[in-house]
Amino acid sequence: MGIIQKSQLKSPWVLHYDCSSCNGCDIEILASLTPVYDIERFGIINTGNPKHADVLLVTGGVNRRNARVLKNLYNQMPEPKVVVAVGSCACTGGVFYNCYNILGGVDKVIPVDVYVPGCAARPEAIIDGVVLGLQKLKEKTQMKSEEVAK
Amino acid sequence: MAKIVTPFGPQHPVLPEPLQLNITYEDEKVVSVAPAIGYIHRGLEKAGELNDFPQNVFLVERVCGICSFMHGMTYCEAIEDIMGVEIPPRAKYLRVFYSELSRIHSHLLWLGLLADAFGFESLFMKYWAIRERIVDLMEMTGGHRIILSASCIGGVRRDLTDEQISIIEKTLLEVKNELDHVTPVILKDYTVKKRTVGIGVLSKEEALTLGAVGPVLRASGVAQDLRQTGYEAYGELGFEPIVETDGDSYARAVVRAREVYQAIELALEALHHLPEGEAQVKVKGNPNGETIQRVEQPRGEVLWYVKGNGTKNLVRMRVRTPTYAHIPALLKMLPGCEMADVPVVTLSIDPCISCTER
Amino acid sequence: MSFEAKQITPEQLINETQQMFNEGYRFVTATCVDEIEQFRIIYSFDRETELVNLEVAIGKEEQLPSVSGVYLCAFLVENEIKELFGVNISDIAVDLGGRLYMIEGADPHPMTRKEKKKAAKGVKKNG
Ligand code: SF4
Repeated sequence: MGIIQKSQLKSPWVLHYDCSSCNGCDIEILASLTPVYDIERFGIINTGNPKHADVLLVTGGVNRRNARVLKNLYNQMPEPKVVVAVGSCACTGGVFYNCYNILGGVDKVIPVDVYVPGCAARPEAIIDGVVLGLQKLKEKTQMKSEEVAK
Repeated sequence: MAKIVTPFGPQHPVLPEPLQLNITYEDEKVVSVAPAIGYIHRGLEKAGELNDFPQNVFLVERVCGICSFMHGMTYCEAIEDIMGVEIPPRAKYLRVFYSELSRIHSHLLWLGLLADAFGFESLFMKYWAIRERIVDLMEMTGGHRIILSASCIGGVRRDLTDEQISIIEKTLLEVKNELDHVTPVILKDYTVKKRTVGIGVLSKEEALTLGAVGPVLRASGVAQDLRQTGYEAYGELGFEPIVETDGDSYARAVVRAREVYQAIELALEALHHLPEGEAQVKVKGNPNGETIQRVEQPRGEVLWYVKGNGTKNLVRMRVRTPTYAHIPALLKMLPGCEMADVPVVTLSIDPCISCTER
Repeated sequence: MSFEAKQITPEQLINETQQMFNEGYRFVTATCVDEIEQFRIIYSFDRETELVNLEVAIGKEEQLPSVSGVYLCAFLVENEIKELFGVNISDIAVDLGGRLYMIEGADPHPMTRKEKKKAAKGVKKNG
């Protein structure tokens, strides 16, 4: 593993996108950046730019209009990348399962690596989810370097 | 000078939520704005017709995670109004307490986000650290950090014990002390003033004709607050709306910064006068009839329309949220301001997109 | 809070709203209710926390004039009603052509109620 891959695991940058959440989970994501939970302990930094991001945090279920935006964001992120679905909505559609404009969970549109349940998911759970995602990121990096070696 | 159109959003670092504004600039000045919404539209009003009406309480709490309690409460009030249920006095005071707790939480959150919008990150962190104290209170009383699910049809599900009350009183006073250190920064700091004074001005007449509500209306010099109508126990608690006259982003920040103090006062007052007795009455039957219910949320007036036909399912449920009323005002405020001020002006209405689109 | 509405016809709508505007009322919102045979639209206005409602009933195919010429801020809610219910509202100041929420590939007017569904409910209740 090269220095870039190593540092990616030590300091992953996250991108947050709100699909059709109720705000609850978004606040919790922001709260995990603030002093009490302080996600920066793990070197995790919130970025606004998909091209700099390693981890995509998605809240809320996918609706007809933002499915395209979500796909775009996902495609813009460089490989390897991890997607963390935060909250019941993002996992399955949650309370909004029977709304006419909700297609379902995030996995209807892009592949999801980690599911964080909860309505709203607690900051501890979100941090746990991201850290779990990092293991996946490591596997993906190894897979990629093996491919390159071949 | 050629005109350029740039999209602001849907994914933007300043707004946690996807609002898209297609802004036309001339040089660095905003010329016109076209909103494109629908990124969060879920169809919640229809789902309200498919679920049973008691189940809807949990659904409507998720119209918006920040005002969760207020939506739940207003919906319950509407159903109680149709069914002619009179809730016990203790429940009324508890509802006031929970409402004010939500207001403190929402305003602190917003003040932090405003600071973040112009890059004052330490202030953002400070406000959010204080906010965690309130969130802890919400968890202790309502059982959840964000979705404060305390209301139910017929009263309040979560009664307070004496021990809880003393903890709450102590914490609220501590929060007030901590705020005393931070609020002067918002009110007096040079950087804050530089970025907000005279930016995004909305005059009194414009505010009224464009249908602005809540803190935006009050910052433009209209003393209007639905709590004046004395719903729940507000009539007995005494209350004066907070008004500023300048109508700019600064005035809106000041109104909210002062309302936090007022909300702490009101919450303590409500706990102080908390009557003894039950907090909940049993409700039987199904709603038959229609009603309109309005309540003052942290962001302004919310309107709920509920119609039932005597079955478990409602015929129609509609909510008009404060941000919905603020979008025309926002479209008026933006033209003429600089590119760098767009995030600040947009935030100054306290946008909550998930309410707006439901 | 009781709920009273003044019944008016679609022709009176613009005049009545203009009068509200002149008296200094603030436009709160319009609420559309699908009553299967017809639409009921309730316009709410506020002056110093006092709520006044106007109610219009129109047939499903009839045309309704827009009040956004009087209260500009009504354009948002009228676009919403047009899209979600398919009410035929003419001359909206900022007409988004029924594409406010841009629900593509779904039922074009998702908020309308269908007779069939109501009958099905009735059957369930009896059985
Ligand atoms: S999981 Fe719950 S709290 Fe989170 S966005 Fe969905 S409804 Fe809101």
